[in-house]
Amino acid sequence: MTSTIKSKARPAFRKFLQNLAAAAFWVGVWEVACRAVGQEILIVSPGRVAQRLCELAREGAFWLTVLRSVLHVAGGFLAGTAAGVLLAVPAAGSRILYHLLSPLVGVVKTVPVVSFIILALVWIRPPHVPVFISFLIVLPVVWGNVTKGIAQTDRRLLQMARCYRFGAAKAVRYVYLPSVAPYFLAACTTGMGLAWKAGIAAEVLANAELSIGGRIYDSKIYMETTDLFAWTAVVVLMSAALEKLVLAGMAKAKEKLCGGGKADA
Amino acid sequence: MGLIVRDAHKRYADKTVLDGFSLRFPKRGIICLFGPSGCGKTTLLNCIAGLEALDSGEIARDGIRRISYLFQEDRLLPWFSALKNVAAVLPGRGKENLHAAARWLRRAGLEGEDQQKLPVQLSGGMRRRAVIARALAYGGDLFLLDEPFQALDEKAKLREIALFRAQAAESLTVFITHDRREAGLLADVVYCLEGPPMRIVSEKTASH
Repeated sequence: MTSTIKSKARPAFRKFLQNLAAAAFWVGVWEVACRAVGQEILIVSPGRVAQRLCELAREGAFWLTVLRSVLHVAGGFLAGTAAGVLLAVPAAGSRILYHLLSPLVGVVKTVPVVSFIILALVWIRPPHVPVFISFLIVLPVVWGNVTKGIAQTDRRLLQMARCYRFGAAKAVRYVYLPSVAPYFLAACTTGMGLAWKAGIAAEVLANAELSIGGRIYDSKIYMETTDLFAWTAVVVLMSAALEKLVLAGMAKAKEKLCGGGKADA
Repeated sequence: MGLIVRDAHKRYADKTVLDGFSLRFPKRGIICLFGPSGCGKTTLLNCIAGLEALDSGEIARDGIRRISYLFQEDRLLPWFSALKNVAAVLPGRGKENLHAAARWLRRAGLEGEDQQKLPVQLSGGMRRRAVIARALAYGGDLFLLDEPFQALDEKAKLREIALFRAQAAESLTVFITHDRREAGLLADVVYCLEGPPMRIVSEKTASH
């Protein structure tokens, strides 16, 4: 048992060290760049950003601001993911629907996100714009990947499922879901990053109250480069944290779906 | 109960595989379709299983409610262990289901830790045993076996043949092989085929 834990823990610890080393390298590059430029208004040192982050973290409003932005992005992400999946399932089964939705999704992918933000500011109330924009950006990514995942499902396995009379629910659980899972996972990780980018951009343009984007907008108005860096760091950290949460959830779902097949006999 | 193929026609883009093929199978026993690759044997099995439609003609499956198809390829779910692959075709869920699957795997010659392995972790012969266990566990009135013993060594082959022979009295088994010895050991009747289009060249009855 001990050896199993050790063999699993070692690569995880090694990966953690590798990531830490890579992060340390880039923080070092940042420090060197900061010293070379020598003007805090253009580039702030990592130490100063960390210090500012600590100051911000002591304010109650900081956590409320972060929470509101997380709710904006996570809300849009979840809604976009759900809509993407719900639209992908019928589109994978109907060529007409697929060809009908394809150009629409293509347009959403290519139109600059600021155009949507400005349009959304005209259509809907500003506090809802970041949620809507995150939703709009995530939807085509999830739709495209899930549609592709369903299309790539091994026809021979589907034939086998049909022969052994799996039924619709069993075929979905045993064949489709595990086949689509890697595509869905890739869409979730890409979509999460995009949802943060677009959601924060929407908060900036909507100048949303008590939001990270709103604080970034303030830092631009008052030329507070340190605050700009600090809030950007918060976005990076929150994005990574949410991505890890989504991946952990997916791993658990996969374990439930595929694991637990041991008979005591 | 009976399986009858009447005047079956099936054509792919560039070749006619079945051109008025007819065959009346017995109610029980093991029938071997023996012939060269590409003569249309697998197409016929797919049509009998209902996976492919005939262009014209008829396949009557009177009294056949359940068909167990052992495909030429393994077609195991790659994300499940051998045990869960067999359990997947059994009715119900839970421990009982897994115990039954484990019993079938043991009979087919896949035991212990090997049952918990994913298909990719098993050798070709082990995967074949899992596939045989799956087909037998599912059971049915009709077994369709497409080159069932490929990748198996001689000892394992004899063991699996004994398993199929054991249930031959209760159901009809149609199997495809290129191996004369396999055909002789397992089949009650051997149809030697040629094609495409597929046609029966000779019929031999074996005694066991």
